[in-house]
Amino acid sequence: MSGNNIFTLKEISYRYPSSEEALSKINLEIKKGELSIFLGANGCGKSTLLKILDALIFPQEGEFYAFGNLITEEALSNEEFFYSFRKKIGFLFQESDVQLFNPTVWDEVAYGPLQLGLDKTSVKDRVEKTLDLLSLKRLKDRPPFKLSGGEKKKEAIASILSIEPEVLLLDEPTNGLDPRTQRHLINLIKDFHKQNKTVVISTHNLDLIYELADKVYVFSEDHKIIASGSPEEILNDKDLLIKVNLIDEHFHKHVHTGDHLHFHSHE
Amino acid sequence: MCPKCFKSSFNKSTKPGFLEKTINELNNVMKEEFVAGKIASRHGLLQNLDPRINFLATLLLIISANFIHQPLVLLFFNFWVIWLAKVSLVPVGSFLKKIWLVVPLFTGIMVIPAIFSPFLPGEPLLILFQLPHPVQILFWQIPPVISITKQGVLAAIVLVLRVGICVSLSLLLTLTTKWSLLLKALNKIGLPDIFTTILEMAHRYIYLLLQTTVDMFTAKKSRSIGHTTTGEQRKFVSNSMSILLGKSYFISNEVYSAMLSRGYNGNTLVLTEFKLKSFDWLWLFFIIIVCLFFIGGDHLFVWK
Repeated sequence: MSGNNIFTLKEISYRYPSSEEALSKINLEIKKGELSIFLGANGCGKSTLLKILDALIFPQEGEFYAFGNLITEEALSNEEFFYSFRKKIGFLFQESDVQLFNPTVWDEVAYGPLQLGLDKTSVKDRVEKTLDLLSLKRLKDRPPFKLSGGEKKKEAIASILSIEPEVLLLDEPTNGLDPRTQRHLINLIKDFHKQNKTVVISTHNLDLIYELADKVYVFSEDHKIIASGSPEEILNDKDLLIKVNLIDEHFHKHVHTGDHLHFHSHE
Repeated sequence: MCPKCFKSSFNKSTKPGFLEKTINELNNVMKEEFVAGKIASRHGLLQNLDPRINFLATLLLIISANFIHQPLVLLFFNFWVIWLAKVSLVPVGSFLKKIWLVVPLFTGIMVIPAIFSPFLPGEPLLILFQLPHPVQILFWQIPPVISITKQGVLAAIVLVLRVGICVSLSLLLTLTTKWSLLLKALNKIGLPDIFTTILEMAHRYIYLLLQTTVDMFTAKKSRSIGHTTTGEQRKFVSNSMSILLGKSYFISNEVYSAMLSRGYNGNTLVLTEFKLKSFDWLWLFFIIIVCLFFIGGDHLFVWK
């Protein structure tokens, strides 16, 4: 295990109580400052793996190391370790609504820092700074059900950025967002990554891979990682993408002015 | 379906059916919440108060109302609450409608027996009928004259007016204070964190599930052509209930994960900062005077 690794997974398998297998024999190493993308069709286990990385669920088989420590339920039951682990990782859920359980935007952004033991002044400073960063100040007293989808996603991101984590785990971050909000989010991820912070994204959005990823892990529909490599290597392997059911035979890419690429299918 | 049947069933479906009615009612609930939020953001008298003072003042007024026995004093108290609503920029028409359509209905039904002589004997106002002799049912003796009594009517009026004051004050408190601030105020006064957190989350997710229900019903409506039988409607409603239950179970698991991810370890911490202004103390003092005024008035005034 390299000392530069943030996450190391050895032969990880996970099965839901309903007995369907969600992950099978996963091996991977994510290095500090790397932006990794889990790519795969719906239901292949990407979100489950992100939950394992955030120690929200624990694998039945294999070993999972984070920041050099073996992560188990027992390890997390130690209060000191629990808080130090939670301070380092921010998790963006696929559905913003489950993440926004506080009565107002301000309370939501303050929740993480408060729980993690910051004093009142620091909490207030962090909340104000994060609300400024995401231009959410005008919405600070609004309840979540009075926000649009894009605003909810921004609030959810603010709620994890206020923790000032070292690692961001993002589950389908651009799903259901309009192009403008998507662009804002992508720029935000880029800025975070520039600070030598680690980002792990699960997605099936191929545009996102080309623009953001350092390394891509491809999931097959039988819940295994069947390939990994640079964005170019993965995106140029059309057979691989067809095999994992991400694209069809009409898939191709366009190059626009300024070398911007985008990927889609049409006849 | 033959074209004739299709046409006739389509005509039937243009009348508002159970789907439309349910969607409208659900939308109304959400609209109410939206209007309440807008009222709480206005700069009226009660909105400018510290939520703790607003809560304490409401509590004092409700307790005082329960010490008053004279209908005229209670009536005057009700008018005073309406004035309070007006200076707090609450639309008085809809405020009165909410109170006085509900209170007489529910409290009125409960107090109707009290106006009759078998339940509350007294001076007859209107004799309904006479029995040949008193009737004994176990320990309860029904008098020979069945009438509406003066004492019964007065007791009923007093109860309805009292309930009216209590409901008006409670509604006024919730209309003029944001739900989140009200819960924080209750927390500051001593309600444990766990209760406020559960109430906050319940309030938050009720609206999410309401929205899901509206979406389900709208989707059903968009795919429904013609008339649906009562049996089909019942089946759809029971299916929707099971889907909602499943969804709420999924949401509760995900919410717990989201809380855990941000450091929840069994205790929820709340950051609340309220500052009492001199106006808040002045208002509390004024409310004590008002309470004494009404209770004193009740003792001075004698109903004949």
